[in-house]
Amino acid sequence: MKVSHKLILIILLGILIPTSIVTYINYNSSTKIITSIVQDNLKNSVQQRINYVEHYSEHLLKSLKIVAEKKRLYQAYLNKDEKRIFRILEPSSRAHNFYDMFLINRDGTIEFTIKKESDLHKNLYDKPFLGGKFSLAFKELIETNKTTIANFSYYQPSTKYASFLLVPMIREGKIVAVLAAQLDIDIFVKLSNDYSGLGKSGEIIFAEKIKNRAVFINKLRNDDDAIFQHYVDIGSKNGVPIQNAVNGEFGSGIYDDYKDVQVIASWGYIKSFKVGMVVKINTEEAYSKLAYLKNSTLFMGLIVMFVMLYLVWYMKRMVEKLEMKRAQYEYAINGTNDGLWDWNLIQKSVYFSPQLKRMLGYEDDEFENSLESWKNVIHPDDLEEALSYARSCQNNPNKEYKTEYRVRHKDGSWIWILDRGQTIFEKGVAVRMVGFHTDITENRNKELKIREVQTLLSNIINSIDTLIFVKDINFTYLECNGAFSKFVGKSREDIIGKSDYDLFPNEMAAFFREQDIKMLKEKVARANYEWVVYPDESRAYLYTLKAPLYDEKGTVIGLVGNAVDMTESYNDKKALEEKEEIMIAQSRHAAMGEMISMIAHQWRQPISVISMDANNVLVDIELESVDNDSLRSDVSDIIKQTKYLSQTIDDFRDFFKPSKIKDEVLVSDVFTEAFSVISKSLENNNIEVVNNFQTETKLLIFSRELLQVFLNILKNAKEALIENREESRVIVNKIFEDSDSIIISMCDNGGGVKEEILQKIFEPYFTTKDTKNGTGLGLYMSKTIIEKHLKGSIVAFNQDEGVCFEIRLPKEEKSE
Amino acid sequence: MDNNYTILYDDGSRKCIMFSFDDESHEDSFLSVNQYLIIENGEGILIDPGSEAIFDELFDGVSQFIDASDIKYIFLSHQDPDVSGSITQWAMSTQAKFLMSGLWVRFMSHYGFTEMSRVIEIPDKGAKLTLGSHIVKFIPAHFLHSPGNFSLYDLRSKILFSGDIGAAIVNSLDGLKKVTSFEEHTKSLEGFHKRYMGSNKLCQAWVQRVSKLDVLMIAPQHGFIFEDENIKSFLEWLKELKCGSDLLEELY
Repeated sequence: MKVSHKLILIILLGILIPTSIVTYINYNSSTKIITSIVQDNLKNSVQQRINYVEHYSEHLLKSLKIVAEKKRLYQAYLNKDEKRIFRILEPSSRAHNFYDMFLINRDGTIEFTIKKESDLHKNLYDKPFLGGKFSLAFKELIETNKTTIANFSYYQPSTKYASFLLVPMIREGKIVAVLAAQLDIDIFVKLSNDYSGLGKSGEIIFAEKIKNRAVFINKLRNDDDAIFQHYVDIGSKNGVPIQNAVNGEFGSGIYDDYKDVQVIASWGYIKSFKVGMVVKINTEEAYSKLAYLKNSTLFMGLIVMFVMLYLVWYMKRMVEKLEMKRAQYEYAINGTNDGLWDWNLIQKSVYFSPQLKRMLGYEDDEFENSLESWKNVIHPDDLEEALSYARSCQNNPNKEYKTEYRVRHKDGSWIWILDRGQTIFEKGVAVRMVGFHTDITENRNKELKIREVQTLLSNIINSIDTLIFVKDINFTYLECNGAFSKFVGKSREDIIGKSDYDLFPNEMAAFFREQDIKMLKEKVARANYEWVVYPDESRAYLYTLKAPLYDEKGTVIGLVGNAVDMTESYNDKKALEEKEEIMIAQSRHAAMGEMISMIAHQWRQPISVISMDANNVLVDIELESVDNDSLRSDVSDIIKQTKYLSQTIDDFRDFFKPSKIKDEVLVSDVFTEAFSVISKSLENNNIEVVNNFQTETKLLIFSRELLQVFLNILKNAKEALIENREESRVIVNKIFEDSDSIIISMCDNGGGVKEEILQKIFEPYFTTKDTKNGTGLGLYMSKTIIEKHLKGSIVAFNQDEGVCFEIRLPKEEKSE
Repeated sequence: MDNNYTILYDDGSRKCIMFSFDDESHEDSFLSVNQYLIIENGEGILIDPGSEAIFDELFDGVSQFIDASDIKYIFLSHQDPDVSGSITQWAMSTQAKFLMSGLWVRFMSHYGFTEMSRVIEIPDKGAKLTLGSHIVKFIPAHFLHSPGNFSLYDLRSKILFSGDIGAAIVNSLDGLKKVTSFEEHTKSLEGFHKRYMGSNKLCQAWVQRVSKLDVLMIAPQHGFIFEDENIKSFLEWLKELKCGSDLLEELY
């Protein structure tokens, strides 16, 4: 059975049924109580009314007696002084609301009346009084010597229903006359016909017993005609209360009245006037309060029932919720493979769920439910901390228990546990802790991996000297590396969240900001060089590359930048440029050496010709065969040779003249000039040179440098041909032009260069020749001159039996 | 007696009326009895209504001025039958509350009176209540002669209804019930006061208290009314009077 069903059953059996029973019993006893209360009230009411009337009648009789005993009255009676009698009686009549007052002779003659109606001077023993109530009462008084009260009856002279109170006037022990007072039935009834407390149906009935009847002597509340008209036969079924009343009884009960209506009635007897009195109220009305009670009880019962039903419904819902929650928790615990523990701090007992034990590799019965067994498996390094943490949670109701530690699996391995729980407090005292174990070994390992990767990444970016930084769209720093932090002179933590203006002098920050804005606007990576000042006031030349930083959706969320400190490489470049000049100088010196050897070549022949001519002259002088002609011829030849030598000197001097000024020349002329320097040397080595020049465009260039290049290549070709070829050594030189370039092609048939070497021939200090012949700078210098100084290009490739160099020089110098 | 009342005060709204209904049994003893009624705005206070023998006549007399149901209070200065004897009749015929010393409430049952809830007990030190536009004060007059005794002073008419104080055994042949010569009147006062009043000390206390009031008339329950200089004379006389316990040796 579900808990909610049990609950409903308990409420139904334990509350609703007892409540219903109590309500029923209550209702029943209330009926009885109300009946008895109503009866008691009526009884009291009747009794009080009767007491009052009796009291009143006594009071009336007493007053009458006082009057009757007055000497003045007797005197006046004797003197038949009507005026005086009137003066004495009239105040009493008025004081007591008597209809009339009488002084009656002993013989029954009415001697005096206040009203002086038709009864005055009549005799009570005569008609129409004889047999009437007044007459009877008078007779009784004369006979008994006692005050009497006549029954109510119709009194003809006054045409009213009335009673008569009679007191004797006694003188010397004898009745001399009788003082009588006429009391209207209305005055009598008024004494006690107060209906208050009798509701709407309440009725007061006065009745006299006349023969065998109880005759109503008053007008009823709702029936003016009842007076002396309604009656109830004594002994009849209905109107028992009034029958009892006129019979002189007192009592109360539930009866059917003369109209056959069920009433609660109370009755009694007014002795002095011989009148029965009934006070009654319809049961229906009397019970109307009860009906109200009944209805209110029912209403209350209904409310209670609704409240109960609501409670049941509410509790059912609550219990169902709890059951659902429990099911959810059970499902959750089973589903997540979490292990449950429950530590009762008062009983010092611990419960571990089977799942918790399974997590550690134990069956339910293999792992004892105790704190000790947990202490046994927790890693010794973690035990103290875990325990003290638990204790701190037991002292602080607001502290959540959440910790991680290692425990030993049955197989000996360590597993990481996430332990979460709550301390339950009762009256401020920790009584219980409940929680879950979650196996987080895998997560923990992943975490470790991630941490390692993170560490690696951060180590990487921190290890390199490049400044790396990331800014958000508002140019606030999001991330940076150690190099950047060093550059700024602040820790990474101090940089993140700041802007350039927080970190750098205004001018510098403005420059950075301008660059950033430009880049983000164009959304294209930008690079720039910039001089910056480090915190230690050292200057650095930075090459900064900034690129937009995109998120996974492709939205620009900031920018990422890196800056390389180019100060050193800037210095290197300077050094390189200087070195280049040195190298050019070196190569020029080398070339000079070559020149000298070339000059030597050039000069060897004219010198030997001069020497030979001089020798001829000497021989002629020796032989005395000097003739002017041969002398002239020899000397002319010497002069010619000297001129040639001089010419050679001029040529070489021009060659060595370093030129910083560009001149406008035909490339073919430059080539011819170079060739003229080396032609003898080529000739001597049996190298045939084929030139084919088809160019007319002059270039504005450093012609001396181009000349040096030509010389270098021709010299290399010569050396290759000498080394590799015995005969038909040929160099083919072509100069031609296309739309935008002058192309110089110089090919030999000296055997070519190995492909792998071909890639390196333009590198400095590279040579295939032995040290005696080469500096290793020739082709490097040539490339430098062609590319850097003349803005052209030079390539080398193998063709036929040799190597070809192709130089392209732009017709119009490219703008820098 | 053709005219059974005398108007003592009438300012158009407030009236003080004296009745002089006598019990036949006292007719010969010259102990004339006075009953008083103060009315204003249809409310009335009846003072010392007397014995049951005169109830019919007094009721009739009072009814000439005010409906019995409009009598709000009936003041009984003390417990004597010539003051309080008709309490039962008045209880039956009116809805009035009865004002009297707490000492006598229990004794009223001897007159057939049972409705104790209608009694307001006047505390020993006195009290006041509002009737119409003005208040009336109940002045302590204990042991003069009754141990629980009050006089009533009407602030409007300035009449002091003194109960048995100032009472005289006197017969008014001409119906005029006013003291004309105080000297003469002392003869009628003396016998009654010497025997009925508690002591000179008590007289002095009452005189002292009354002297603070602006009294234009002293209206006792028996005998004649004091006005003008007679008031002063009476008070001085009373102040000096040796009576009651002052005359122990004559009694024991």
